[in-house]
Amino acid sequence: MKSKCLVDRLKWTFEGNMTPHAYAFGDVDNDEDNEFVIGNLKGEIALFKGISVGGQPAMTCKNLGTVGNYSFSEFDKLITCVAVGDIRNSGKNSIVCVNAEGKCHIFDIAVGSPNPTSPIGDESASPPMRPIINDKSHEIEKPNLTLGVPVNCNRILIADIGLYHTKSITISLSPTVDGDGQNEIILARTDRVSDYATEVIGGVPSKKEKSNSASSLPYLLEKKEWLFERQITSLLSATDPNTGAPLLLVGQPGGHFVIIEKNAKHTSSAISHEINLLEEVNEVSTELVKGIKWRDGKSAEVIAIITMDGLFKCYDLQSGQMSKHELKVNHKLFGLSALNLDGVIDNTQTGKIYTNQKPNVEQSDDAFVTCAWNGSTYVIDHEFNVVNFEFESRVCAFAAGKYAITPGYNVPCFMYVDFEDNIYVYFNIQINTKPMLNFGEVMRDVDINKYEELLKFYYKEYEQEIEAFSPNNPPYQPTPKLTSFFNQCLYKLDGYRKLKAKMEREIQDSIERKKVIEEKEIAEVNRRKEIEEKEIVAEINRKKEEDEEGEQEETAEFAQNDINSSSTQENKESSSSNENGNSVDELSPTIHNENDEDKEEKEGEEEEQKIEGKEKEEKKEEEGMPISGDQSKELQERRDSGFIHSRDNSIQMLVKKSNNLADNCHNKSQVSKADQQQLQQKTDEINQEINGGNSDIATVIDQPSLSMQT
Amino acid sequence: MSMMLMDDLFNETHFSRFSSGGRTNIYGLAVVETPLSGKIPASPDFPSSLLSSMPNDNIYDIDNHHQHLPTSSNDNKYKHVFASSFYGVTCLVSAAGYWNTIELQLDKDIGEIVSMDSFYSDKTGLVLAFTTVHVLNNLKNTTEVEGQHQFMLRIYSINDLGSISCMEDALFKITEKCQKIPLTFTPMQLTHTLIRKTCNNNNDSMSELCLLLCGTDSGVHLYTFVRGFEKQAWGEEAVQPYFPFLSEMASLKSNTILSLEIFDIGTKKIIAAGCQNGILHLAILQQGSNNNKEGNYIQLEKPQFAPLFSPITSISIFTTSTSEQNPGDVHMLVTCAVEQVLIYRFVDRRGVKCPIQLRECTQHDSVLCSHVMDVDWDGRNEVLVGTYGRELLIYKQQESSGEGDDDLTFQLIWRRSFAHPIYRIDHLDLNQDGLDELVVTSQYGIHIFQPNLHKAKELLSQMFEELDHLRVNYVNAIL
Repeated sequence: MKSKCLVDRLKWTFEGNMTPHAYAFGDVDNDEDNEFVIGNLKGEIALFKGISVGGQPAMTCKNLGTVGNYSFSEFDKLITCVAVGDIRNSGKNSIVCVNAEGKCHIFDIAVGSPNPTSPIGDESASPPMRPIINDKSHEIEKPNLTLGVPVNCNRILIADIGLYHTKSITISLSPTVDGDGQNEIILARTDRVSDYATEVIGGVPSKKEKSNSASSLPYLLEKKEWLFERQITSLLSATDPNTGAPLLLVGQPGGHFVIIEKNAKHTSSAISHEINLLEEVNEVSTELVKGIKWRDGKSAEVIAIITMDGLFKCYDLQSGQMSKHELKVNHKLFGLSALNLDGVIDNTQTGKIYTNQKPNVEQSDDAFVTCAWNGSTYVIDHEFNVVNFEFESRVCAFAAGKYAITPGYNVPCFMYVDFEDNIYVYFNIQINTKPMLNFGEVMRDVDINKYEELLKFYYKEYEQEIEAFSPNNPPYQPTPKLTSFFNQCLYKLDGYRKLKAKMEREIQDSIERKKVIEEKEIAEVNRRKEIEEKEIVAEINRKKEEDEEGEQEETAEFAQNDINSSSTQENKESSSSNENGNSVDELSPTIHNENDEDKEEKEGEEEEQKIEGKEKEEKKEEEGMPISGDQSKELQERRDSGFIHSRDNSIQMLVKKSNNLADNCHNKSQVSKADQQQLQQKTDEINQEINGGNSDIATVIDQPSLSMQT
Repeated sequence: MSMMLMDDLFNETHFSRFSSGGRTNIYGLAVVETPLSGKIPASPDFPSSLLSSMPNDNIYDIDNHHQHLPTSSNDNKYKHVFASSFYGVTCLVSAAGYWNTIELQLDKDIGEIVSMDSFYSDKTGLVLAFTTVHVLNNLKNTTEVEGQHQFMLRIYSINDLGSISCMEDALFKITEKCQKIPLTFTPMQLTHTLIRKTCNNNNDSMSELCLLLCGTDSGVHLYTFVRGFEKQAWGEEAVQPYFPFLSEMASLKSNTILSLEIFDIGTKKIIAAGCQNGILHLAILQQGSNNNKEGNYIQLEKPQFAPLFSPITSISIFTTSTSEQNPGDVHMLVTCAVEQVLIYRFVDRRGVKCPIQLRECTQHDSVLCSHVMDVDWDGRNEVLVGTYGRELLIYKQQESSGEGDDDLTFQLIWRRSFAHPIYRIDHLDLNQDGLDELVVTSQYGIHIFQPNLHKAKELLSQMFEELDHLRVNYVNAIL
């Protein structure tokens, strides 16, 4: 059971004690805003409208009991019950109050007649923000109409129970009498002399003006009477869900009730529920109300029954099913009401009126409200979820209903009448009867499976808890790891940001890692290529060595050097060191051989360099660069000698070889197309380097060759 | 959930009324963090059920066995809340998805509870301390109408949680052992703080928790837990070595300290004391570079003070951000009995020179309490204020584009009326669902507010989307 503390309240003043049923909510003045009417033991009634700043009623009427001192007892004056309804069947509501000595007073209040003073506050504010304020109490001299009814009536009901046309009684107060939907007034009597005397229900059809008789006074025509063996504790009208016919429900002590169908002649023919005559007579008072419950988009009336000692039952008129719940109470319960608590929240303090966010406000179920003498108030829903509110005083009467604090908004209100002439009106009743939800249960609505991968990613215990988290496993189970993950995201933004940063970093890292791996692969391919190239070169050299003698030596040497310097960028170092005649890191034994050869052929270096210089010049010419006269002359000489041609041939051969090498690589590694492309690219690059690299090397060696020339 | 307004920050989930009409006061709420969680299953009548004793062994053992294993790791911390009313202490013990309410079984003759505090540390165990006032009726001198008041500091503790299976168990057992320290002054706020204490054997200093008790003798009293060879007990120690500033205040007989706040941020320690006569004292200490024995902190400059002309009911020092790595600026919230609330902005840099007033707080009678938390999950702290005029107000930091210190203002974002005066505000995850509940004590009970669950869901879903997006990128990056 949840417990609530209600906050917003009004305090009104109304003197005198009262019976627990002498009040009513209703639109008394037919302006569509509900008012509150209350009667006391001194024969006075009061009408409250709006906020009532001074706590005074908008209207009062006194002396509704026997005038003068003729009254046998003080209690004859007491107002036993009050109702608001269309008693005249005129389409307009009246106040009806009945006293113990058999007088039924009817008040017709004209629209605006309580004449509330102009609302305070900002005039420019929209009307809903301006509560109705009454600071003047208006006293009504006497009721518009007083009718005689049986004495000792203690319950009243104004409803259409379909009795109106059962007899061919003619003229009514209202000119439009035909058709259904005419209200009757139903009164319940109690014989206060003896509790065991048979009680009578005065089934009194709606009031008629007896215009055809000599007396022009209106009177109530008694249409029907049912007798009950036990006290009538409650009256209620309902509709038969199957036939649509009106039903009258009569509460009986001990949590029982009797349903009287239309046209039923007497109690014997009424559907009797749960009355077992053999059962020990339990005189615990029983109250009945009907509440709306929505089922598949259709509203149904559910009868709630509560006994003073805390037995709460719900009776489904359609299915005939009865469900029970025991409230643990120490004090007697009374004032059962059905109330839709979902609705407008009137926060006039902050100038805001919140309407319910739920689009289908109409489709929310009514809750049932009851109160104990000590002020403990219980709000019960159809699933028997209970919310408790403690009113901090003893309660003379309790009423829950809709009342207009602010014009245009009938909001749920709890009215407590204490024993000190006060009425406390609680409004802005934000009571949610549903059991407390925790965040895990709310998060279950989220399609967590959508984030399955994410959760797996973040926390390893995912599998264990997600099972418990699934909405397919209805009872909530704690999921501490998941919960702390929620908490981390929401409150430890440090952690959340860290998590994000970590992710981002990891993404970056992985990209870089990938890059490194790629580079490594490329480097590896290159290395292998180099080695193979060198092997080829070595082979060529060996071949050339074998083939060429004497003057041919120069060419071979040149070709070898060319390869050394131009194979790849990385190889430059080794090639340059080769030139210097130093031993380099041992890439392969062939290189050593080359080095050896280098040393051997060091003597020819000078000329070699010279040739290279020439080569550069030659390149320059090819690229359309201007060549100095001397150089061109020399070049011409060399061309004539046929030397250059042979050299060009050797280069072409090498390029061919390296292309073959690249093809070999493709076959060997059998990599993807992308990689093939990459490799192709690489090969192209290598080719380029082989072609263009000559000039690089040439520039390096250019200097000494030039100096030699000069 | 239809009652839940979407723009609401909090919704009252439950109101737990103190039994037998007890009332609380401004020193009557304490949140404690322990390695123990609540484990007794929720009653069907939750949350209004009251746990009066440990359930019988069989059920309890099964439950314990079932739940103990997966949560055996020691890094779990669970917060629980204590609220004192005049004659009793109500504990809300957090558990997974619910909480259990326990009323401590205290001696009948303890008198009225004045102030309360609770904490847990490895050295001291679980400690629940409160000060009480007992009216001694002098039978011999019946002509004297007013009895003599006897004040007492009562410290209940469980030093070793090893044999304790759950928080409920701890609470039923904690009242078995009580150390009573008679007081010669009227006690005020009881709180605890971390001090560096030198060990007897060597010159190492280590941090430990001590109790601080303000009193009408204008002093602050410090109690430490001494674990001797024969017995272990709490004893009073001089404040001077640890807080020279506070002992100086006492020696000047300045005034009764109503509220004391000690706040550590980085290498700084900020001490603020609000007095009954309305003087606000402030000292800012800087951690010394060398590991010197005494306190280790050096007073940066002369202590500052500001006259507020009204008893100071609460002080909360807070940072702009909830981030521990980047806490941002430091501000100090001060509430006064005579209807004003001040925020000293950038208190670490500017001391009491840059105050700003929270305007709306002046309209609701005395301001009794304040609290700081992130109510909307944006990583920035909001300011909560509770008044005797039954109003709870929440303010949000607003920074305008300007660079100056005066550009930081606070805007009222939420308010709620209560039926009774509000005495204290705090927050904790009471049902262990990942969201922090707001706990407010008003005169007759404890209000528990859940944050807007739907908003939280929305936000979290957004975060999940974001993280999931990142994850996809990540996965793509490694493939």
